Amino acid sequence: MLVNILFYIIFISQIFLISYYYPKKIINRVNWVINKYPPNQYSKLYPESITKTQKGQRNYWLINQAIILVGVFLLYSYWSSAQENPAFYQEAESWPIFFGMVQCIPFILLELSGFKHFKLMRKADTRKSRTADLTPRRLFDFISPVLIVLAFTTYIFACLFSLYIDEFTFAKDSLVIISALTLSNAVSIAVTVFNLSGTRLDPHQSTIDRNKQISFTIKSVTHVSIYVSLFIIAHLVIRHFDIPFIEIMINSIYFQLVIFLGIGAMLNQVKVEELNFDVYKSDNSVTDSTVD
Amino acid sequence: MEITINIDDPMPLFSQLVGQIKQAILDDKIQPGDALPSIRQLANDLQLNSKTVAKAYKLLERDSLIQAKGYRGTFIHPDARKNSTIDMSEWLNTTLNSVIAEFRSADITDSEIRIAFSNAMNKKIN
Repeated sequence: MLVNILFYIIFISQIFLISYYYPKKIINRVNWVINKYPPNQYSKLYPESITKTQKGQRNYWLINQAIILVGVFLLYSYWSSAQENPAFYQEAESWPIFFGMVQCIPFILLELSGFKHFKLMRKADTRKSRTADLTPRRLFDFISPVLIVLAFTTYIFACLFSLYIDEFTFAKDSLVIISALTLSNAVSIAVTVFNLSGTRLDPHQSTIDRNKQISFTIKSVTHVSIYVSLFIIAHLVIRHFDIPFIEIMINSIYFQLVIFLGIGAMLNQVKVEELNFDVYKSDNSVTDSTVD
Repeated sequence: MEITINIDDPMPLFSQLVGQIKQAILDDKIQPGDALPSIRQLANDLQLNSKTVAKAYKLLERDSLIQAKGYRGTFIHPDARKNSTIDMSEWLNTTLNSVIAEFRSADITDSEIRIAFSNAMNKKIN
């Protein structure tokens, strides 16, 4: 059946993109940095032993490989179930979402590991002088007002559409959807505020690089907010018009889109070659003790 | 325009902030009307307590070097360059020394001066 074939293609793409292609790119990026800016010359970048970093990379890759196996298993399960029931997609519609959540685990662990790394860098930073830019960081210095208005509009529209589908009865489903959307946007706002006025995570990061990172992060969360709202709208339309064969595919495409807009965009737009690594150079008076 | 503070410097941190912003005005590195970062942003960037930055901003505002415009933010005062040549601390010290010298010349004891000063300060607070 064509629907199942399409689903196989899209799901294989989900497995490949999220658990192989982007993790591989991230690992290659880390290796490039380690080779070009080694610990013996750039000790400030490595508050911990390089062995730990490499161990973390291996674990990250192993987790992704395990998830690929789970994905292959799910694909096989779907295929064998679809042999008996060609409309199995109606029962498996939530598989891409749950599998997508599992695929996000390594990225979340990577992010947490990043926070820990920055914390160690701040702890190791014994400089007595501190520098700050006297230029205020304002939201519209980093993102177009049009995007913000678009994010807000799609959020409101998604909430109203959800209520409209339930004929404004404030049914449980609508309230759950509105709550989830509101919470997701609240997190986006919190991330934005933190980036604009929160503590500098990397104590050595230059002002230019920091502004680039802030700009990218704010645009990324805004795009994700827009696509979450659009996904909810598409999901409601599919449910309302009873087109289940599209739902399973949209669920998989949604996750791929979020990763593409988040991790993918970061890897493409934040060029590691353009970052200033001189700020991490070892002081002449400091003996590097992080190299094994 | 970047400012730098030294946490080991004996000069209080808020004084360093005030001094650097004043110097930036005198050196034309920031112009009247330019926006300054929020207290929270500057405090986080310099890893200082926000009260330290708030104190610095309050002193700068008192000396008419900056203007706080509520939710719109904080800006360099239109007459900042002219006002930055006035040193309120120096005026305070000069005036106080002069008044104390006058009291002493009238044979008023240091103890009496301290008690009267303390009462005057307490009266102002009340």
